Amino acid sequence: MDAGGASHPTDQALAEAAKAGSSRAFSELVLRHQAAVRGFLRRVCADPSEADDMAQEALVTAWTKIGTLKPDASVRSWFCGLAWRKAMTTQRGRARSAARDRQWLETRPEFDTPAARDQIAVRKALDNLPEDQRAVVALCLAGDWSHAEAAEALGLPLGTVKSHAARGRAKLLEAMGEAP
Amino acid sequence: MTPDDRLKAALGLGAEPPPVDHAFVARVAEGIEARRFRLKLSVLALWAAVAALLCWVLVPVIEQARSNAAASLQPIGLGLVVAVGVWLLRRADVGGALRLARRFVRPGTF
Repeated sequence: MDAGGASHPTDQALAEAAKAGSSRAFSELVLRHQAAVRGFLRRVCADPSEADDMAQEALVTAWTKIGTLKPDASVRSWFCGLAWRKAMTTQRGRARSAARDRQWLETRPEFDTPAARDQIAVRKALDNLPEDQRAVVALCLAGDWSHAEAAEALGLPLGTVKSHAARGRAKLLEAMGEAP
Repeated sequence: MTPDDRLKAALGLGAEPPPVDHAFVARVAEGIEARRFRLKLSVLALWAAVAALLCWVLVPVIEQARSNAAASLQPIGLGLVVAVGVWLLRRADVGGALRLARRFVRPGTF
Protein backbone atom coordinates (compact mmCIF):
# COMPACT_ATOMS: atom_id res chain seq x y z
CA MET A 1 0.00 0.00 0.00
CA ASP A 2 1.37 3.37 -0.97
CA ALA A 3 -0.45 5.39 1.69
CA GLY A 4 1.99 5.86 4.47
CA GLY A 5 3.31 2.30 4.40
CA ALA A 6 0.89 1.14 7.15
CA SER A 7 -0.86 -2.23 6.75
CA HIS A 8 -4.24 -0.63 7.45
CA PRO A 9 -3.87 3.10 6.80
CA THR A 10 -6.46 5.56 8.06
CA ASP A 11 -8.88 7.28 5.71
CA GLN A 12 -6.93 10.49 6.17
CA ALA A 13 -3.64 8.84 5.13
CA LEU A 14 -5.34 7.34 2.08
CA ALA A 15 -6.93 10.67 1.21
CA GLU A 16 -3.53 12.39 1.38
CA ALA A 17 -2.05 9.69 -0.88
CA ALA A 18 -4.96 10.09 -3.30
CA LYS A 19 -4.41 13.85 -3.34
CA ALA A 20 -0.80 13.12 -4.31
CA GLY A 21 -2.14 11.13 -7.28
CA SER A 22 -2.38 7.56 -5.97
CA SER A 23 -5.25 5.80 -7.76
CA ARG A 24 -4.72 2.78 -5.54
CA ALA A 25 -5.31 4.79 -2.37
CA PHE A 26 -8.46 6.27 -3.87
CA SER A 27 -9.70 2.80 -4.87
CA GLU A 28 -9.17 1.65 -1.27
CA LEU A 29 -11.28 4.58 -0.05
CA VAL A 30 -13.99 3.66 -2.56
CA LEU A 31 -13.87 0.03 -1.41
CA ARG A 32 -14.29 1.11 2.22
CA HIS A 33 -17.17 3.50 1.69
CA GLN A 34 -19.03 2.28 -1.40
CA ALA A 35 -21.62 0.43 0.70
CA ALA A 36 -22.45 3.59 2.70
CA VAL A 37 -22.75 5.75 -0.42
CA ARG A 38 -24.79 3.20 -2.38
CA GLY A 39 -27.01 2.32 0.58
CA PHE A 40 -27.75 6.00 1.14
CA LEU A 41 -28.60 6.63 -2.52
CA ARG A 42 -30.70 3.45 -2.76
CA ARG A 43 -32.88 4.73 0.08
CA VAL A 44 -33.14 8.16 -1.46
CA CYS A 45 -33.73 7.10 -5.09
CA ALA A 46 -35.87 3.94 -4.93
CA ASP A 47 -34.30 2.40 -8.07
CA PRO A 48 -31.16 0.50 -6.93
CA SER A 49 -29.49 0.37 -10.35
CA GLU A 50 -30.03 4.08 -10.90
CA ALA A 51 -28.71 4.73 -7.39
CA ASP A 52 -25.59 2.68 -8.14
CA ASP A 53 -25.01 4.58 -11.39
CA MET A 54 -25.29 7.85 -9.49
CA ALA A 55 -22.92 6.58 -6.79
CA GLN A 56 -20.40 5.67 -9.48
CA GLU A 57 -20.64 9.13 -11.07
CA ALA A 58 -20.37 10.81 -7.68
CA LEU A 59 -17.22 8.83 -6.83
CA VAL A 60 -15.63 9.69 -10.17
CA THR A 61 -16.39 13.35 -9.40
CA ALA A 62 -14.84 12.80 -5.96
CA TRP A 63 -11.59 11.74 -7.64
CA THR A 64 -11.46 14.98 -9.63
CA LYS A 65 -12.26 17.04 -6.52
CA ILE A 66 -10.11 15.14 -4.01
CA GLY A 67 -7.86 18.18 -3.65
CA THR A 68 -10.73 20.10 -2.02
CA LEU A 69 -11.20 17.52 0.79
CA LYS A 70 -10.19 19.08 4.10
CA PRO A 71 -7.55 17.11 6.06
CA ASP A 72 -9.77 16.66 9.13
CA ALA A 73 -13.01 15.94 7.23
CA SER A 74 -14.68 12.54 7.24
CA VAL A 75 -14.22 10.85 3.86
CA ARG A 76 -17.51 8.95 4.21
CA SER A 77 -19.43 12.18 4.88
CA TRP A 78 -17.70 13.91 1.97
CA PHE A 79 -18.52 11.05 -0.43
CA CYS A 80 -22.15 11.01 0.71
CA GLY A 81 -22.41 14.81 0.41
CA LEU A 82 -21.20 14.65 -3.20
CA ALA A 83 -23.55 11.75 -3.88
CA TRP A 84 -26.48 13.66 -2.44
CA ARG A 85 -25.79 16.70 -4.61
CA LYS A 86 -25.50 14.44 -7.67
CA ALA A 87 -28.80 12.78 -6.73
CA MET A 88 -30.57 16.11 -6.33
CA THR A 89 -29.55 17.29 -9.79
CA THR A 90 -30.48 14.03 -11.53
CA GLN A 91 -33.53 13.01 -9.52
CA ARG A 92 -35.69 16.06 -10.11
CA GLY A 93 -38.43 15.35 -12.60
CA ARG A 94 -38.36 11.60 -12.05
CA ALA A 95 -40.93 11.58 -9.25
CA ARG A 96 -43.73 10.81 -11.69
CA SER A 97 -42.14 7.61 -13.00
CA ALA A 98 -41.33 6.54 -9.42
CA ALA A 99 -44.99 7.00 -8.47
CA ARG A 100 -46.03 4.91 -11.48
CA ASP A 101 -43.63 2.12 -10.46
CA ARG A 102 -45.06 2.18 -6.93
CA GLN A 103 -48.62 1.94 -8.21
CA TRP A 104 -47.65 -1.10 -10.27
CA LEU A 105 -45.96 -2.69 -7.24
CA GLU A 106 -49.07 -2.20 -5.12
CA THR A 107 -51.14 -4.25 -7.57
CA ARG A 108 -48.76 -7.25 -7.54
CA PRO A 109 -50.00 -10.13 -5.32
CA GLU A 110 -46.44 -11.15 -4.31
CA PHE A 111 -46.06 -7.81 -2.58
CA ASP A 112 -49.16 -8.30 -0.43
CA THR A 113 -47.27 -9.18 2.77
CA PRO A 114 -47.03 -7.00 5.91
CA ALA A 115 -43.32 -6.29 5.36
CA ALA A 116 -43.83 -5.42 1.68
CA ARG A 117 -46.84 -3.24 2.52
CA ASP A 118 -44.72 -1.39 5.11
CA GLN A 119 -41.95 -0.94 2.59
CA ILE A 120 -44.27 0.44 -0.10
CA ALA A 121 -45.96 2.79 2.39
CA VAL A 122 -42.59 4.03 3.67
CA ARG A 123 -41.25 4.42 0.13
CA LYS A 124 -44.30 6.48 -0.83
CA ALA A 125 -44.00 8.66 2.28
CA LEU A 126 -40.25 9.00 1.76
CA ASP A 127 -40.75 10.24 -1.82
CA ASN A 128 -43.17 12.86 -0.52
CA LEU A 129 -40.71 14.26 2.03
CA PRO A 130 -38.78 17.45 1.17
CA GLU A 131 -35.36 16.60 -0.32
CA ASP A 132 -33.27 17.55 2.72
CA GLN A 133 -35.60 15.72 5.08
CA ARG A 134 -35.46 12.59 2.92
CA ALA A 135 -31.65 12.65 2.98
CA VAL A 136 -31.58 13.05 6.78
CA VAL A 137 -34.03 10.16 7.21
CA ALA A 138 -31.95 7.95 4.87
CA LEU A 139 -28.78 8.69 6.82
CA CYS A 140 -29.95 8.92 10.44
CA LEU A 141 -32.93 6.56 10.63
CA ALA A 142 -31.89 3.94 8.11
CA GLY A 143 -28.11 4.31 8.08
CA ASP A 144 -27.44 4.86 11.79
CA TRP A 145 -25.46 8.03 11.19
CA SER A 146 -25.19 10.53 14.01
CA HIS A 147 -26.92 13.88 13.54
CA ALA A 148 -23.51 15.58 13.47
CA GLU A 149 -22.24 13.29 10.71
CA ALA A 150 -25.37 13.87 8.64
CA ALA A 151 -25.04 17.63 9.16
CA GLU A 152 -21.45 17.47 7.88
CA ALA A 153 -22.35 15.36 4.84
CA LEU A 154 -25.36 17.42 3.80
CA GLY A 155 -23.98 20.82 4.76
CA LEU A 156 -26.95 21.55 7.03
CA PRO A 157 -27.00 23.06 10.54
CA LEU A 158 -27.18 20.46 13.35
CA GLY A 159 -30.51 21.80 14.64
CA THR A 160 -32.06 21.49 11.17
CA VAL A 161 -30.87 17.88 10.90
CA LYS A 162 -32.39 17.04 14.29
CA SER A 163 -35.76 18.56 13.40
CA HIS A 164 -35.72 16.89 9.93
CA ALA A 165 -35.04 13.52 11.58
CA ALA A 166 -37.88 13.95 14.10
CA ARG A 167 -40.40 15.20 11.51
CA GLY A 168 -39.38 12.57 8.96
CA ARG A 169 -39.72 9.79 11.52
CA ALA A 170 -43.18 11.01 12.51
CA LYS A 171 -44.36 11.12 8.88
CA LEU A 172 -43.02 7.67 8.06
CA LEU A 173 -44.54 6.11 11.19
CA GLU A 174 -47.85 7.74 10.31
CA ALA A 175 -47.65 6.25 6.82
CA MET A 176 -47.19 2.80 8.39
CA GLY A 177 -50.25 3.36 10.56
CA GLU A 178 -48.24 3.80 13.78
CA ALA A 179 -48.79 6.72 16.12
CA PRO A 180 -45.55 8.79 16.14
CA MET B 1 -41.44 -5.33 17.34
CA THR B 2 -41.43 -1.62 18.19
CA PRO B 3 -42.67 0.96 15.65
CA ASP B 4 -39.05 2.09 15.15
CA ASP B 5 -37.93 -1.49 14.44
CA ARG B 6 -40.71 -1.80 11.86
CA LEU B 7 -39.68 1.52 10.32
CA LYS B 8 -36.02 0.51 10.21
CA ALA B 9 -36.88 -2.83 8.60
CA ALA B 10 -39.03 -1.10 5.98
CA LEU B 11 -36.30 1.43 5.23
CA GLY B 12 -33.57 -1.18 4.97
CA LEU B 13 -35.45 -3.87 3.04
CA GLY B 14 -33.46 -4.60 -0.12
CA ALA B 15 -31.41 -1.42 0.17
CA GLU B 16 -28.12 -2.81 1.46
CA PRO B 17 -25.38 -3.25 -1.13
CA PRO B 18 -22.61 -5.81 -0.44
CA PRO B 19 -20.07 -4.48 2.12
CA VAL B 20 -17.17 -5.42 -0.20
CA ASP B 21 -17.74 -5.07 -3.93
CA HIS B 22 -14.62 -5.15 -6.09
CA ALA B 23 -16.67 -5.05 -9.30
CA PHE B 24 -18.16 -1.70 -8.29
CA VAL B 25 -14.71 -0.34 -7.40
CA ALA B 26 -13.46 -1.48 -10.82
CA ARG B 27 -16.36 0.36 -12.50
CA VAL B 28 -15.43 3.54 -10.61
CA ALA B 29 -11.76 3.11 -11.66
CA GLU B 30 -12.89 2.70 -15.27
CA GLY B 31 -14.95 5.89 -14.98
CA ILE B 32 -11.91 7.74 -13.65
CA GLU B 33 -9.77 6.46 -16.56
CA ALA B 34 -12.45 7.54 -19.04
CA ARG B 35 -12.58 11.01 -17.52
CA ARG B 36 -8.77 11.27 -17.57
CA PHE B 37 -8.78 10.21 -21.21
CA ARG B 38 -11.36 12.88 -22.13
CA LEU B 39 -9.32 15.48 -20.26
CA LYS B 40 -6.13 14.44 -22.02
CA LEU B 41 -7.89 14.49 -25.36
CA SER B 42 -9.23 18.00 -24.78
CA VAL B 43 -5.74 19.22 -23.76
CA LEU B 44 -4.25 17.64 -26.90
CA ALA B 45 -6.98 19.23 -29.05
CA LEU B 46 -6.20 22.59 -27.50
CA TRP B 47 -2.48 22.18 -28.23
CA ALA B 48 -3.25 21.12 -31.80
CA ALA B 49 -5.42 24.22 -32.28
CA VAL B 50 -2.66 26.47 -30.87
CA ALA B 51 -0.06 24.81 -33.13
CA ALA B 52 -2.30 25.19 -36.19
CA LEU B 53 -2.88 28.86 -35.41
CA LEU B 54 0.85 29.39 -34.94
CA CYS B 55 1.61 27.73 -38.28
CA TRP B 56 -1.03 29.83 -40.02
CA VAL B 57 0.48 33.01 -38.54
CA LEU B 58 4.04 31.96 -39.41
CA VAL B 59 3.43 30.76 -42.99
CA PRO B 60 4.29 34.13 -44.65
CA VAL B 61 7.43 34.47 -42.52
CA ILE B 62 8.53 30.89 -43.28
CA GLU B 63 7.86 31.36 -46.99
CA GLN B 64 9.92 34.54 -47.00
CA ALA B 65 12.76 32.90 -45.07
CA ARG B 66 12.71 29.86 -47.37
CA SER B 67 13.02 31.94 -50.51
CA ASN B 68 15.81 34.01 -48.94
CA ALA B 69 17.78 31.11 -47.48
CA ALA B 70 20.61 29.61 -49.38
CA ALA B 71 19.95 26.17 -50.85
CA SER B 72 22.65 24.68 -48.61
CA LEU B 73 20.74 25.75 -45.45
CA GLN B 74 17.47 24.06 -46.46
CA PRO B 75 18.38 20.54 -45.20
CA ILE B 76 19.26 22.09 -41.80
CA GLY B 77 15.85 23.80 -41.69
CA LEU B 78 14.14 20.52 -42.58
CA GLY B 79 16.10 18.73 -39.86
CA LEU B 80 15.04 21.33 -37.31
CA VAL B 81 11.36 20.96 -38.28
CA VAL B 82 11.57 17.16 -37.95
CA ALA B 83 13.35 17.45 -34.56
CA VAL B 84 10.71 19.84 -33.21
CA GLY B 85 7.96 17.58 -34.57
CA VAL B 86 9.43 14.51 -32.85
CA TRP B 87 9.87 16.45 -29.61
CA LEU B 88 6.23 17.60 -29.72
CA LEU B 89 5.02 14.05 -30.42
CA ARG B 90 7.03 12.72 -27.46
CA ARG B 91 5.61 15.41 -25.20
CA ALA B 92 2.08 14.68 -26.37
CA ASP B 93 2.45 10.99 -25.35
CA VAL B 94 0.60 9.79 -28.42
CA GLY B 95 1.39 6.17 -27.57
CA GLY B 96 -0.23 6.55 -24.14
CA ALA B 97 -3.27 8.24 -25.68
CA LEU B 98 -3.61 5.42 -28.24
CA ARG B 99 -3.31 2.79 -25.50
CA LEU B 100 -6.05 4.55 -23.51
CA ALA B 101 -8.22 4.89 -26.61
CA ARG B 102 -7.90 1.17 -27.33
CA ARG B 103 -9.26 0.44 -23.86
CA PHE B 104 -12.46 2.36 -24.52
CA VAL B 105 -12.95 1.58 -28.19
CA ARG B 106 -13.19 -2.17 -27.80
CA PRO B 107 -13.39 -4.52 -30.80
CA GLY B 108 -16.98 -4.83 -31.98
CA THR B 109 -18.05 -1.47 -30.55
CA PHE B 110 -18.45 0.00 -34.02
